[in-house]
This record gives sequence, structure tokens and C-alpha cells, in this order.
Amino acid sequence: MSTPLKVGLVGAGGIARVHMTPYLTHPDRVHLAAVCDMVEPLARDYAKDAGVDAVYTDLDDMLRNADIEAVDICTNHAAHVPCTIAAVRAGKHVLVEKAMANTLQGCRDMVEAADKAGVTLMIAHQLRHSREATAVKRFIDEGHLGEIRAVRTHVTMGGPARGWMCDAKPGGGVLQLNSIHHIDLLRYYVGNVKRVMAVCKSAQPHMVDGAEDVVAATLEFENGVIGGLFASWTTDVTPERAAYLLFGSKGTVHSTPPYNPRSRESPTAHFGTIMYALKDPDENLDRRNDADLQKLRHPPFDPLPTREEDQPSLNFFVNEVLHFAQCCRTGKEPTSSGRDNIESMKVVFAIYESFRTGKAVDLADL
Amino acid sequence: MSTPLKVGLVGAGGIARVHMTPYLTHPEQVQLAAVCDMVEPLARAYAKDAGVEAVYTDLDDMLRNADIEAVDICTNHAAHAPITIAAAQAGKHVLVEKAMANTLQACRDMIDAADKAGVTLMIAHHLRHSREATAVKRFIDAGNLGEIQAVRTHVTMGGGGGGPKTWSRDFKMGGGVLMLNSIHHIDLLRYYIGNVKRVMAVRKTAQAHMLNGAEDLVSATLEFESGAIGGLFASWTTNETPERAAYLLFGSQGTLHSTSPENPRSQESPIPHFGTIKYALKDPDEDFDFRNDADLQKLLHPSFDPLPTIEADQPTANFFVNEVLYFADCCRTGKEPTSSGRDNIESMKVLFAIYESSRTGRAVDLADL
Repeated sequence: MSTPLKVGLVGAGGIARVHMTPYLTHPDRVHLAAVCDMVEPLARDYAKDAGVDAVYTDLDDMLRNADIEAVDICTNHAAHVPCTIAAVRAGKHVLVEKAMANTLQGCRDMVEAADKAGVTLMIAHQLRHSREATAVKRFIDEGHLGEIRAVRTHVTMGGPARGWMCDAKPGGGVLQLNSIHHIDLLRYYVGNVKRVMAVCKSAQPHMVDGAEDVVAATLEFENGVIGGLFASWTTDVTPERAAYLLFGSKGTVHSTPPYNPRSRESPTAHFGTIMYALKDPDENLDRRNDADLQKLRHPPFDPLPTREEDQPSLNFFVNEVLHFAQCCRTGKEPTSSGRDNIESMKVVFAIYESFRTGKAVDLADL
Repeated sequence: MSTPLKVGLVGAGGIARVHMTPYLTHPEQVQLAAVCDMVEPLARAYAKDAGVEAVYTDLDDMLRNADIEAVDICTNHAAHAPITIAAAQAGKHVLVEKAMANTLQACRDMIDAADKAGVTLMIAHHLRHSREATAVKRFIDAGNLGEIQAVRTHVTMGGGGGGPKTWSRDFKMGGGVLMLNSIHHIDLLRYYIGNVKRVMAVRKTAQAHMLNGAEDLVSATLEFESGAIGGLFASWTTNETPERAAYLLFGSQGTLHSTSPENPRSQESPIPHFGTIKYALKDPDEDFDFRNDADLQKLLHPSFDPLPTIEADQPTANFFVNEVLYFADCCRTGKEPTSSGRDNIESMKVLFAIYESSRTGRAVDLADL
């Protein structure tokens, strides 16, 4: 990579702060050249902290006048579509925060616009750029778990108490805010989802326009894997913030909640230690025998080693921005390109549709 | 209770062994008076260990000739209905193992037969007779968790145990993870928060040794009459699991969870089910802010306390003993058992709704079954 990718940031709110790190730590690869927010003080504060001179309150103004090759979109979900389409029409590469958009048509329009403009469109699914997920993916692909038959994932936490994240219209709710990570990571691990059945609920009075704070869903993957997905924002006090479990014919991998405080390197702690256990090679273990039963019930789980060379940094937000810059320079399709990520978004929209109709929804019909 | 309840056991297989304890330890309340199994050596071996002289290989023979007031049915699921109906028609009270029966019509026929005969019909949902479940139920009913908004439960284990040809892997005999394991979870959630209204589900047979379409994988969503949403997951496809069984209840005021048991089985706990039940109540500080590091730590590490169990709630730490003693008490007093046939059919409907939803790809209202 000869020169650093010149980026303009759009939407200087919470997640934008986390995106600042790669620009500060890797100026040789990515250069934050402009900041845009409709709320001028937000844009100015952010630009000051990031050491950026060019501040805009109007997107078109930035796209016309700033010296940038790409945009990094950190707005609410509903604004992803118009911002992305305006940026690609101006010939800019686009890195846009998850969730991609709050309608499937919006997602399709984004992909089409990027294709037409011949620019890179990447959805910021930062977990794919963690050393943990990279290690799990390799472990699966090398066949250690055998045939994966079932997966289970959940997020249970106290959700946001106010703001657009509690409002369905701008794309709020636990599915687009949290579960989309789980859906995307499971797709990364075991492939596309074929069919969905789901129930949602808006349990708390501060959820607006039916934004869901409880979800239970069943996912059928194309390869036959059955998945259970659960999400709840209804309680702060939970023993199990987020988890992923993969049950294979030869073993199990699980990643349970993080027990480390967040840090500069891990600003949004997500994974705990990834653990795995492989099937005991003794085929004759008998549950009626006490010693065998103990082996079956308490198999030795070992931590799955992560590799430093897999990802440049421990901070997966840094890794994703560097991956984006590399894709822009080389023309390589990103791991979570718009085209790829639409398959994750279909699961979200199928969950809404299944809840609305009380029927299983085939993703092919969306 | 003046005299011990005289009971005849039907089906001397695995779970019958666990039922033996109450007869041995509480002879003043329950007396095992006869044992019946089609396989004579099984019946004889069981009777010998239980100190019972009357051994039968034919149910009608036992019902006609043994000096018994009740039967304790420990057969495969498909046999529950005909045996229950025969016993009720012979005027015997019936304690029958879960799952109640393998068709909804059979469940209804069992209730009709017991009602007509005026005898007690109780389904052996032993977990309801544990000190743990009793403590959870009281904790919820006292309002400590506030309004329960969501529940999650799972069983993930290597299953269909016994041997390769065991009936628990054969759908025709009432096998599969739903009837063998998940029915406990369904029944306990109903005990805690009430009836289920609607179900969507997928069930699957992943492993070659499952017979006639018996499922070893299930993912289901439950809508309760109270409005709570439930997620149910079950897998028999792996032995290596960090999470054998769990129940989580998420309320507006707090959370309660019960995870897998860490203890080996023992005389008092022949089939361990609960780990320590833990709960945490919402921090009364309404200004909790997850962007603040100290508050975030509170969120990530809420202080969970063990929910105390109360000895006085149940006569013993062995819930199988408790359920048999409770059954005897119901037979003597005419009291409707907590998991009577009439109650338990609402648990069974969830199971049949899961079959139906998986077959049709549609949500199933339990009222339509």
C-alpha cells in the first residue's frame, strides 16, 4: 500500500469514537481527512480529538469538497442507505457500520449503487476481524468438530434506555443492534441460513414503535444445521451476556461472555476465552457407569489458541478498518461485503416477517 | 395416613430402579406389593432387590390378583396409555412416568378413564418435587423477579442413552429428546410462569441411530399466556457440552438461573438435574450507565447469590422419593396432584405443538390442538 487511504467519517456519535483508534494508530495506512455530522459541536469535538481540520455538517458538501477516497459511516441504521448511495455516486469507497440498513430494499440499493460505481462496499462486522473468530473459523474448516449439527447463540443484557436504538423507525431494537453480530458470525462459521421461525416482543415501555427487546428464533442453515437464537434486552442482571455454541459430530466449541474489563485494545469486550472439547475416542463409554458418566458430563475443555499473525491487532475495530483500506487499494471483495452481508440481513428481515405472519420464512422468498 | 399405600410397579427397567428408593426408605407410607414386567428375569431381579414376593409378567393378572391400591408405571411412553387405562378401570390409582403418552388423544383417554373411575392420576414430573423448584416457584410468586418477560432453557448432551437399541431412540415407542428430556423443561417452565399459548419449532433427526424419525435436535419458540417469550433448545448430538441443562428467567426486577449440576450422582440425587440456583436483583440505581467503566463492571459481573432452599419444603433431598410420597398423600386425601393428568396435558400440548409446527412450518395455537 503506497499511500494511506484518505477517509471521511460520517456521524460522530458513540461507535465513531471506537473507529477513531485505527486512524490514530496506523496513519501510514489510513488517514482520517474529514469529519461530518449534522450536529456541528459533535463534528468539531470529534475532529479535534482525531486531529482533523476539515469539518462538515452537510454530507454533499463533504463529498464534493473534501480530499477523501472513502467514507466511514457511523450514523443510525436508517441513514446508512442515503449516505452510502450518495457516497458511492461521488466515487467514494464505503465502510458502513452494521446493521447494513433497516429495509432489505435499502440493502439491495446499496449493493447496486456500489457495483455501478465500481467502489468497495464493506459492512463493519468487526467480530470477523478478531483473532478469536479467525481461530474458530480455521478450527471448523480444518474439520476438528466433524459435521456441525447444531448451534446456539444468545445475547441477554440490559439494552439502551433511550435514543434511536430503542426506536424501530431509525433501525433500533436488539436484532439490528446486537443479534446481527451473532447471525453474521454464525454465517461466517457454518454458512448461509435457509429458513427462519421467530417470535419477537416489545416488553419495555421505553421501546418505541414496536422495536423488539425480546427475540426467540430458530434458524435452519443450508447445510442442515439447526440454530437457536435468543436475545433479550429486558434485564441488566444476567449471568450470560453473549454466547456462541457449536455442536459438531466430533466436538464442541463454546465462547461465553467476556469476563475482562474493556480496555483500549478491547473497547467493546465481546468474546470470553474460546473453549473446545473433542469427543472421547473411547466409543464404549457407558452412561450407566459412574466413571464414564463423569467423562461424558465433564469433558476436559481447553482454550482454543489464537494466533498473533492472524490479525494485526488485538483490537478488532483496528483490524477491520485496515482490512477495508487494503480492499479499497487492491480491489479485493471484503469478507463482509455488501453482497455477503445481505445474507445476514435477510435473517433479520425473515425474523420480522415470521413473527408478523406466524409462518416459517424461506430466505429465498424475500 | 393410616396404612401404607400398596403399590404395584409396572416395567422394571432403568427409571424403575430410581423409583425403588421411596419404597425402601418410607415403608410406613408406601409399600411395594407387586412387580410386573413382560420380561420375567427383569421382574424377578427387581422384586428380589426390592424385597417383593409377588411377581407378574402379565398386567391384567397383577391388576386382578395382586393386593394393590395403585400402580407405578415405568414402561416406555407408548405403553403408558393402555396400562393407565387398564389400571384405572381396575380401580387403581396411577402414578405414571413422564412423558404422559405419545399422542394427545392417548393423554385425553387417560384422563377420561381416571375421572370415570374416580382414581388419582399423577404424572411423575419429579422436578416439581425438588427443594430447588419449590424455592424458585416461591421466589417468583412472591414477586421478587417482577414481571417475567423472557425465559430460556436448553438441554444439550449425548443422549438416547442406554444401549444402541434402546426404545428412547425410537419414535414409535415415544422416543426422542422432546419426550425424554425437554418435557421436563416445558413442565417446569409452566410450573413457574403458567401455560404456553403458541409454539413455533423445528425438530430434526441428525444421527443415524435415531429410529423412525425420533428427533435429536429441537429449537422452539414459546409464547406464554402471560406474554413471556421463551426459547427452548435441545440437542442429543454431542457428549461434549459445557451446558447440560439450564433454565433462565428474566424478569423486570431480576434474573434467576439454574445451570448444569457440578456434582456426581449419589444415593440422594440419583439423576442430578439442578446446579446451584442463583439470582440477582436489579440495581436500584436507575442512572446506571454502561458507558461508565465502573457501571459496566457491575453489568458484566452482577453479584449473583445462591437461592436458599428450605428443608421443610420437601421431606427429602431426593425428589423421586418426594414425588412418590406426595402421590400416596394425594391417593389417601383425594387431593388433585400438582402434575395431575389434567395439568400435565398442557405440558404435553407444547410437545405435540412442536411436532405440528415442525411439520407445517407454521405457528401452532395450543387451543387448536
